[in-house]
Amino acid sequence: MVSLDNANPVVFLRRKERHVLPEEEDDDVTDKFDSREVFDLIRVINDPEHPLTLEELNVVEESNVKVDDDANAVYILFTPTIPHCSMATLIGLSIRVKLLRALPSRFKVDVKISPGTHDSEHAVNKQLADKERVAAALENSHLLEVVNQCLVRRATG
Amino acid sequence: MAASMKTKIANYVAGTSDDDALREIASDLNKKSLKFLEFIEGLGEFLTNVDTVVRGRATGLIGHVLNFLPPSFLSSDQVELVATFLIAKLSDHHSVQPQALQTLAILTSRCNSLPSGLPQLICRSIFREVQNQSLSQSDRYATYTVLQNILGYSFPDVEEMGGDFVIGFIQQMDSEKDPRNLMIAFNCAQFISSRLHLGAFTEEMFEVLGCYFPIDFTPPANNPHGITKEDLILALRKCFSATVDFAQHCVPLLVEKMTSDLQSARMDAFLTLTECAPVYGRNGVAEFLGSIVSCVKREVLMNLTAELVETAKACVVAVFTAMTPKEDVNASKDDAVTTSAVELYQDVSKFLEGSDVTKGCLAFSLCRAVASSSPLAFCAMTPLVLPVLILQVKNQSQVSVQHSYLMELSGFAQQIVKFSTNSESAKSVSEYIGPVCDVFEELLATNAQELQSQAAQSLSTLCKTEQFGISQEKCVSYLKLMATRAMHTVDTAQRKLYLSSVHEVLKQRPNARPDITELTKAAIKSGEASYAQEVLVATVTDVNSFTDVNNFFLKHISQAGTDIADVSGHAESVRELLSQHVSDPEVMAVVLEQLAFPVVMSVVTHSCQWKDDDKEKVSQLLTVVSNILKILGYSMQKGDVTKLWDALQKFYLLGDAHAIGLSGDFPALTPLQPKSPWQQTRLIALLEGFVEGVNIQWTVENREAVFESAFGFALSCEDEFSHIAACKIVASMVNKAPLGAQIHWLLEPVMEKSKSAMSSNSGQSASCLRALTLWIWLTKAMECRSHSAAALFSSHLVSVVGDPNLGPAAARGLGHVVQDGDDIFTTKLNGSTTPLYKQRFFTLNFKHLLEGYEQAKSQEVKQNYLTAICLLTSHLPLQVLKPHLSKLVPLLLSSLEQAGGQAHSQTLLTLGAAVSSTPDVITPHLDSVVPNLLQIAQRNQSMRVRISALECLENLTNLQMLALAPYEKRVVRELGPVLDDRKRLVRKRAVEARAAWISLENASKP
Repeated sequence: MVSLDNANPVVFLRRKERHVLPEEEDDDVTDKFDSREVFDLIRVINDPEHPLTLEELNVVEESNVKVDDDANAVYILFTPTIPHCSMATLIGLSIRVKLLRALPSRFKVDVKISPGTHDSEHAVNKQLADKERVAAALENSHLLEVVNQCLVRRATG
Repeated sequence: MAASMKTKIANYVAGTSDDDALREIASDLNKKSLKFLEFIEGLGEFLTNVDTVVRGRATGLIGHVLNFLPPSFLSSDQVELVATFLIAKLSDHHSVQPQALQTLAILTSRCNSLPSGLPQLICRSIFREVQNQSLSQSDRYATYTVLQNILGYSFPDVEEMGGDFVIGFIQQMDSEKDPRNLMIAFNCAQFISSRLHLGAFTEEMFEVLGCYFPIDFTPPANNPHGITKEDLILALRKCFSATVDFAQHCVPLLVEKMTSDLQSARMDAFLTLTECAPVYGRNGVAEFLGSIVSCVKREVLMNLTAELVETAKACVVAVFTAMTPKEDVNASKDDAVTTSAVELYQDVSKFLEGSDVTKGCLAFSLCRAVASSSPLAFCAMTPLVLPVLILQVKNQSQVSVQHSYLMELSGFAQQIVKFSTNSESAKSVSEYIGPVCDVFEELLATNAQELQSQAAQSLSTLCKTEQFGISQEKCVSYLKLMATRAMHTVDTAQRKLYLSSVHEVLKQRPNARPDITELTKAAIKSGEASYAQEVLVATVTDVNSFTDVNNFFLKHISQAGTDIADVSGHAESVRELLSQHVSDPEVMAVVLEQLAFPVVMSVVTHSCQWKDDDKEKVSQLLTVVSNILKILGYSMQKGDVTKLWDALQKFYLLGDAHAIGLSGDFPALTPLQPKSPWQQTRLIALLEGFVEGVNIQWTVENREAVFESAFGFALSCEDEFSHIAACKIVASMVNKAPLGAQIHWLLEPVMEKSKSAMSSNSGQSASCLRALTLWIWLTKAMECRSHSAAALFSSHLVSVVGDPNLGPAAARGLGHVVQDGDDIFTTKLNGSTTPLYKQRFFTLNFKHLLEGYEQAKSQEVKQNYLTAICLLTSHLPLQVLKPHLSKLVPLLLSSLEQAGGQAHSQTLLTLGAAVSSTPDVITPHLDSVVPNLLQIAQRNQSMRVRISALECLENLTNLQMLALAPYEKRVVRELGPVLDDRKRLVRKRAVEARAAWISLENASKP
């Protein structure tokens, strides 16, 4: 068995589903994108090495998701479970790909590691910010398959 | 005859004919045209033939013929004769012996009383002559069958044989391998072990069985004999638990297997011991208690699978329960149970106190399992564990960890309640009750919902039991905390949990009620807490509290000048209160005076003050009050129902306000006059509720007059709300009318008048529409009771769909007829709804609708038919539609193409269901389905429709990949803009649908 980076992570509770408000049922009201909506998209992403979601590992938190609908911008900070986590790039890439598929193309998405939570923070941030490298990574069918594994929605209880 | 029989026998013995010949012989024997003696005589020469094969086949032939004869065909003399002959044949040549065994098996199964002495003779001969191990599978099977039959039919003879039979059976069964034979052999062994005294052969018997444990068997592919591993395991387990004598041999074997490397073996060992422990009892397991506990502990702490852990715990519970001494608990302080419980605690205490949550919780749950087994174990274990557990719950900072420990503590709380009737147990934990309650109270005050709800449940469990001496003040303070939580909790499930906790405690401790009601009433008056009314309803536990709370709400309802919305809120609480207590006869005895009349009176009094702006709010209020009367209608006693009906009919027919208890100077009202102001006509909703719920046989006085007035009112009242209510009254009365002539008497004038109202003056379309609505309700009423005249209504309704003016409404009406609803015509409401009425309605009318669609000339009329079909299909189970789907799908699609159809959403639902259940029907239409759905997902005005379209698109991905491949790119591309929909719920579906299509695209890549 391949040894895990973090064999015994702390598991956090999942949030309840978002309550549907009356105005969301109203056809005439326009619902803006907000941080909870984007958080709902990424919280269900699976961790590459544990059968848990990023939310359960506290890798992503709603407070670390900033959405500006009018300025078409999304900022996301994620926190690897341990500072030397080798999966950090993969997690970042998964978040990017998920949002690439699930957000309208008008948004500019920034995915970064929370400052001071990873040893090679700058290198990873640079990789994630480089559009060409992201595109190239997705050409790699093996890598794409790994990312897709992370994005498959598990049946959650 | 004899000659032909001989030829048949000769042919069979020579192997040139099949079973038919034997069947003929058997039928001759059965018809008495051939005597059994003749038959045996006929066989004579073959039975004595020098060729062993011929002898064998002839012996077998007797059995085969017997097989075709009815049981007990042979007389006891004949049986004895045949059996003696067969016994002799057992010692014949080795190719004759199996045939004799087979025939014996059939013979013993066919006569349930063998002549005395014969069974012993058969058994002894078999044990002496038959070397079972040398026979083939089917012959061994015959041996077991003979023994099984004798065990079943002639057990006294077997008992006489005693040890001889046991050892004989053991020898026959030894080294059996075939699962088919094992099933029957295990069955015999279980029977023997449980009924016969095994004596000196106990060990032999167990050895011959024990060698199979644990069973490892994989049935061949397609399992032709239907025997599974599970069957064998269960059969063997029954053998093990057949007698207490096996304990000394069985328990060591099981303990050994508990440490096996095979998970399945361990599982089987735990399960087997769980089943055996109650049989073996204290003496059987005491010796091995230490090793069993340590095996279970090892298994639980390893935590491989949840199932294994649960099984191991169940095993330890069974063992400890078996260990419980029969005599008084006090007498045995230093009992083995206590000692081993304490030992277990000491063993696991490092986990209990440690920081590893998973291990800690497993250890706690193991201790809890032991504690749950008996009062003695409880007294030993609980006082040791509780302080540690309380400390663990208190010291955790992370919610999920705290929750895990809390679950364990709640489990212990349940055990405490379970054993509270035992004074010794209650005493042993009494000092910890306070601290435990404090912990729960503390958690109830935290912010994490999971902790709160668990704590509330456990607190209510503890408070319910009076033995613990939780003081009144404490109890009240807990209740107040829960009540306050409930008042402010938005989440329905969570709130219900608090409410039921409060309710359960108050049931046991009614003294605490005044404090809680006071708190709640104050909250209602201040209007701060959103759900205070629900809490007040939950505090009602008996008729006195019912009266108190009911009066409180009624006072608010009757107050003049209150906002109508508030009145509705209070009325809703009254409805909730009533519906929760309909099954309480004491409450139902007082509702007529205390609830029914006051509510009706208040609403009628209020009606004078309603302004034209309040129409919306008034209809809400009246709907609630109508529901109250509906509940009263079906739940009150006959006498009360009659009283209320008399009052209501006087009020509605004559405008007599005294009848409902109003004072003399109340202005005269005419609620059943169509021309009255809406404030008066809408009061008909109260009558509607009552009629919908009531047993119509109990409302005799002036029933026909009410029916006629309501009918006239329904046709001509211009206020929509009042008109619908009147329609429902008429329909309910028709639906409930007793079988026989009366219903025709009711219906005939009604049909005539409504038909003419629908068709006559097409200029006044409003009155035509009213007649149509009434007609639709009547159709539903008749269809629901599947009355023979229903076809008259439905066929006319279908024909109206083709009408250019009334068509759209009639089409919607068809959908309404088959719509499910539990608020009218149900059996609970004394109505009559036959099962499958929708299916019947669909089958009878679908063809006409299709014809109508095909023959319709104008586009509008075609659209009406489409709408009708869509609505009709969307309320029916898919099973009914399946045969028609190939015709339906193109129709549904063309209805999607028609812009602006309001039936879109329903159609999409049907289509979505069709996609998942009958993919072959959809696949040929993909080239029109996909673009249509995309179009709707992007453009449609209604968000519901857009969502349904996206769901449908997502469903499509379940079809064959090959068929979808051409559309993948297009769907993914065109769903892009939908991700930016203005509604969040649509976006959410779009993300899912797009992800499904993207994953399809990825999967199809090489």
